[in-house]
Amino acid sequence: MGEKIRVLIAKPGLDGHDRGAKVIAQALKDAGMEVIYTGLRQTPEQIVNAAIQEDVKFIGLSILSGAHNTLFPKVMQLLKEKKAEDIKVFGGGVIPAEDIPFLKENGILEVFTPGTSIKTVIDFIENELKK
Amino acid sequence: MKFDSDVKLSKFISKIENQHIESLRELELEFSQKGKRAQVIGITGPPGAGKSTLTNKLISALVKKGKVAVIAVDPASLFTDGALLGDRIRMQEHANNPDVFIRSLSNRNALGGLSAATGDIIKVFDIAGFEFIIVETVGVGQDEIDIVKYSDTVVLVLNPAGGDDMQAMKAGIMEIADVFVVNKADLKNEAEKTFNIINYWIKMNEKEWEPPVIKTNALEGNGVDELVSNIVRHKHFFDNNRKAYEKRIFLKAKHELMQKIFLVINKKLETNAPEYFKTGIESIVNGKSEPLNEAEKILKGVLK
Repeated sequence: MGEKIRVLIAKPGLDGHDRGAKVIAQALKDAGMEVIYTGLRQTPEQIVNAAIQEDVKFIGLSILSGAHNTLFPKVMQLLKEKKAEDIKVFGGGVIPAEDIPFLKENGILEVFTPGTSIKTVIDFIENELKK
Repeated sequence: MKFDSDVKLSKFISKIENQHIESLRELELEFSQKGKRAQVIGITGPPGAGKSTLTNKLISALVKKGKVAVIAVDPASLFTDGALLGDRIRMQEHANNPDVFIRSLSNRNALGGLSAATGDIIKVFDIAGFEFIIVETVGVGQDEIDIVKYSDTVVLVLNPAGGDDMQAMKAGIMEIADVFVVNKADLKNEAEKTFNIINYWIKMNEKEWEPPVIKTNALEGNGVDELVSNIVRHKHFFDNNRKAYEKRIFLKAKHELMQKIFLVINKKLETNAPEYFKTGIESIVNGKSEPLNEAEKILKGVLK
């Protein structure tokens, strides 16, 4: 029985719209991954604890509320505190281009904005696994 | 074997989930020394009956008595082997409780409603000191009854208004329930109907343990206390009726042994015979050979 790629898709903070997160979750499932979805309105603590218990290789954070500059770094900080910094994090949603460098400085590996093809996300995950 | 952080416990569970042989041996050794201590509660029922929502409420009730682990199984895609594991959504209120550990599993296309590693992962949680282990199956139909082999108590969660459902479920799954739950009891008339049908069925199938039927509204938490007290009552029944309990242990041992036999054969096939396997498939496809013939040929070589 081989190892499967496990990914947590999470929506941090206060926004009530998860169509995008569900599309990604579905697509990664179709690409053969095991995807855990934790639902709407999660705190960074809930997301990090779930990611640890599920032993995922990746967390995908989806956000539309505009609070990414606060919530994404908080997730990264908690991963470090809990000694789970080997979990790779990417983000997606409505995120202005000028915020992306800041998020990357904070350890977010990639940020996918509207219009990104599903294949780009899958390729990103597969490339990261080779590293 | 010490799990001093969730990270370590979680990584070990992954090794077990992937049926890593050395880790399985380590687990067996440790488990044989410590013995079974946790109480295992199986939650099963058709898709959408409210298993995860009820599990969520069960966690709240049980965690007052001790540490709770949850194993939540969802189905894998037959075509891609991928899986969307969504049971956890209903339980995220417990994500920050250090006494609760929730792990989602894909069934990895195993039949029976669980994954092949479920029994082993139960043991990991037992060793790690969890007093209650809740195992939630995939949404089941008639025949996915492996849960009975691993549970001290099986809770079968049903939808109201299921006269027809009930017909469909008569044979396999009805027989393994230690406790029946009719969820969504806010649908009063329909719930009452299902309640009556189950009670009638129970009267027709007299057993040493008469399964109680409980109406719940899992969203609101109604009926959950009654469910917990019946789970406790069922535990006492087994504690006082070793013969009945041994029947279940026997089922489990038989199932686990068969499973490990297949595991060992699989591992041997993987390491010794990938070529054999490939040529075997080819000759069947080309009409040069038949499956049984090929299987016997391969196993003769592999199991020496």
